[in-house]
Amino acid sequence: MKLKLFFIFLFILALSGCITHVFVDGEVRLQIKNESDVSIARLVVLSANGGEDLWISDTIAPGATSRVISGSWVGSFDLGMSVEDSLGRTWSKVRFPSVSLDGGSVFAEISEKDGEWAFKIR
Amino acid sequence: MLLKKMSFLLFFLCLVTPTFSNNISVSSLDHAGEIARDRELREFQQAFQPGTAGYFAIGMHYLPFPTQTQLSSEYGTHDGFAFRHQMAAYFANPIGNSGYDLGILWWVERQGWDQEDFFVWPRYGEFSLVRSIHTTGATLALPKYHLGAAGGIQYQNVEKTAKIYADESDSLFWWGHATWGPTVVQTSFHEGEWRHVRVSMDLESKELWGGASHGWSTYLPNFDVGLFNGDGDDSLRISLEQNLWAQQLYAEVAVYYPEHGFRSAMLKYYPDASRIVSFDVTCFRLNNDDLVWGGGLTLPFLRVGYNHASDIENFFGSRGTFMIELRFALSSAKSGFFGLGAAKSAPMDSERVSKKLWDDSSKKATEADKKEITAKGIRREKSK
Repeated sequence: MKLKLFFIFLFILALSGCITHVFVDGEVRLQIKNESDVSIARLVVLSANGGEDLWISDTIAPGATSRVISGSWVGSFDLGMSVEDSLGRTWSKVRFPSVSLDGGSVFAEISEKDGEWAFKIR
Repeated sequence: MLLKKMSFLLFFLCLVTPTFSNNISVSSLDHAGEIARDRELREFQQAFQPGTAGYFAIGMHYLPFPTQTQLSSEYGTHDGFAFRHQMAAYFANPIGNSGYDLGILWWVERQGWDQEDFFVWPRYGEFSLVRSIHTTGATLALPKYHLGAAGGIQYQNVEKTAKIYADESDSLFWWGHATWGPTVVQTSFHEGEWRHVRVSMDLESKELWGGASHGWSTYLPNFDVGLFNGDGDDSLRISLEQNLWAQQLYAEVAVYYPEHGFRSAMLKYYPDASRIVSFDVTCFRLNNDDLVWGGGLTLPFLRVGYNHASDIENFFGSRGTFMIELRFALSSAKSGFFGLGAAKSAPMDSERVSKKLWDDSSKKATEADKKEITAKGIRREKSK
């Protein structure tokens, strides 16, 4: 009887190997809100060798939110974005190092205070 | 009670295990295919002793948390699941009364990294790598003279590879294997070019294959030398297995040339020489010369390891996390069942007990048969 229970336990363990993904999401659906006073654009994931992968291409006006874009970026990554001047030209580039993202829906607010940019997940 | 304790231990390991785990690198996943190719042929070498009737193995790593085997890429750290699902089957049968055994074999391993865990259907995510390696072929053995030959194909099927990994495509190798007494020679080819040559000498005397059960000849070493074609950058893997005590305590050392030198050392204790259960203490040397100490426990249906040298080598360099593998592996020959590389077969007490019981019961039955039963009289009952 005990052996039977042990095998049932092993079977459940094996089965859980293929049902965990019901609870663990393998993609992030990200929406960002611009809480700063200037327009921001082009949220990218930065690579160590200098490259970048575009995630959200929207230009977001102060107080506006972006579209919801899904990406496979579950984990910890360096994110980057462009800050635009009033003529829509790139003014500067901002880097958010080691941003931790869990799978599922993520709503983030980007704000600026005294020249320091912050990426906060709500 | 023991099972309850074991279940609790498993859950405890699952909970603490993701805390300090080390990330898996892209390059270790890139090289895992060639390591698996060699491992399958090495396992076959151990399974194919002339006289073996069969070998069956099945196993999967159980890693419940996406933070246990995170992937380090140029972008950062990805949560997800490394996986290795494997199966091996080898069956051999005598051809009439000719003395020859004819056999077939199939080794398969599906491995890689995926963003979600799965058992059959992967997610094939944007950063996934899914490949399977199949080794199949036929064997012919003449057990009376300890002679054997085998050959077949080895096919790598790349199901999914993402942009972060090195380019890889499907490939077909041919392989051949010959064994005579303690000597094994093995080779593989791809498009007319040799890929590996292996020479191994199992000098240790094993009772299972007609050798001594004890004495000096059981303390002789087992060598394995593999030469790999790296297209002008050849490498060598030398391993040594040495019986230290009563074919129950063994030392194993692996050395790589020219790159690493000393790679790993293991001390394995088998409570029974049939090698179905083992307790291991291991040491693995990393590329930066740091030594990683670890160990593990192998039971018939379960293997638990922490920083085990064979996990670091065979599971994409993964360390700092408890590895739980649900597995089963057993060889069989005329003399009984045993694990890979065993010196003796497992004691089969159940067989002896059942035979004794059968003998007793049959004896009683014959004694009962001898008794004469005589009718003392006939009584008639009246019908109402």
